[in-house]
Amino acid sequence: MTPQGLWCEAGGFFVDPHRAVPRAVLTHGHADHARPGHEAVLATAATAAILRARYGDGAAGRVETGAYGEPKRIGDVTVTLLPAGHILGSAQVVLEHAGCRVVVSGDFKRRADPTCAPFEPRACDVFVTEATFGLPVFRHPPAEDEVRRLLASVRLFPERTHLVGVYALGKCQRLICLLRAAGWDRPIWLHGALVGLCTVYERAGIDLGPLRPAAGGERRALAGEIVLCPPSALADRWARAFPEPVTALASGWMRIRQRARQRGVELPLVISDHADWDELTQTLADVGAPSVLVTHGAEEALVHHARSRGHAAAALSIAGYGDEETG
Amino acid sequence: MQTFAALLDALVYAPQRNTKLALIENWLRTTPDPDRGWGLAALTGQLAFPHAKPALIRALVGSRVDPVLFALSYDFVGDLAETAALIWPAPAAGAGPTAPSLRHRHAVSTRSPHSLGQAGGRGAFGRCVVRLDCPMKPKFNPNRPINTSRWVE
Repeated sequence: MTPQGLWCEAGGFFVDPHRAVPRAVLTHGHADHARPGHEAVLATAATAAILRARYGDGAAGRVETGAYGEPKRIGDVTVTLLPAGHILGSAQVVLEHAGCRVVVSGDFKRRADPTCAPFEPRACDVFVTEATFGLPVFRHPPAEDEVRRLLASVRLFPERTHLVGVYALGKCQRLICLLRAAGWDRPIWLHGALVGLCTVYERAGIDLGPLRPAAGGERRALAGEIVLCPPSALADRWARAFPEPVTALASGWMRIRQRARQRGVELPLVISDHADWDELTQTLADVGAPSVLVTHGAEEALVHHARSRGHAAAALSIAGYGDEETG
Repeated sequence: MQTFAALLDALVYAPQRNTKLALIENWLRTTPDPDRGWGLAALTGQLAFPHAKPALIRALVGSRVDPVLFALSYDFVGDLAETAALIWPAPAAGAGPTAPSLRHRHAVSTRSPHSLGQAGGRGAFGRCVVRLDCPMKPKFNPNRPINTSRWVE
């Protein structure tokens, strides 16, 4: 651990550093993990495309892309990226050196997601895990049920617009796919901040169906429609132009009533791209690592659980993760 | 009573009176008896819960959950009943996804409080407390006029 982030001594690189560094391996494209300005970057091709869309061509000096499962040599370390199931392009970083294997999970989830490859557990000696929802009160219901609640509300209040706050990268595209799978084939209306990343997903071959920009005077005519926007836009002037909007927010934090009420959310949807408590603890059992390090989130509870199951466990307090709200 | 629990959640979040009325109306239209009657009784304040005290809730959840994890969770959530409902362990595989119907309340109420909810899923907790109480306090009188105004303010 250094002030810049998680440092791999034998390879001479950082994993997901939050300052610009000479050499970085990035797990995924969320802004709290992938910062711009590194001299050399290793990431999946999809993550590289997301970086370009967010930061332009100057996102990093030199970008090397790695396919899932393809070993790369950096210094004395063999680096392999494995699917993490979090968002498009998200990866775990497998580090092998002198007979020891360390897996850095990045952010991950274990549930099916039509927009990304499923998490692949890899047995290891040290597992570095996230713990965003590392408390046993966080058990996400099936996302399909939450989407059914949204559609039931649209049917019950056809004279109102359903305005759903979603994180621009990952949640937005997953929710669109979930809506399509539930049979919603009408156009889905997007806040301008979501359009660019939807295009990245479409270029990666993910079909999102008809999308329209929700802007200008047209907003008044969107009764009975579903509009997606970043969470911050829910309380914005932009949101007031819709007819009697029902404000919804798709996030794992919506499990906690007080969180939903703080945001003034009328229809909280518990849909998360992070592992819930059961997925976190199941993953510790699956990878069977003697040592567990917990990077960010509710470290204390997961460390307690890991120790009770016989792992040597400690919290790595990494500042800076979770800054982009990606629950 | 799963749909009744969902209705209560929706009412908590809905700021507008007309929205609350539409939600209640929709629930009454789509819910079969006897759940509809129990829900109406609960909404109109005809059910009493003298046994559902914080100490009982704490004891029930304490016998099922690691105390350190419960303390950390309670600290985060800030509400005892909500923490208990969220942290309640999932039923063992094969136990079935639904709690027994309210029709079976007399059979259930003879069990000790600590055995309640063992067969139920998460969220079964609130239903168990209702079951625990109802046979002893048959306060609900369907002929009595009801006042829904406190739910739709």
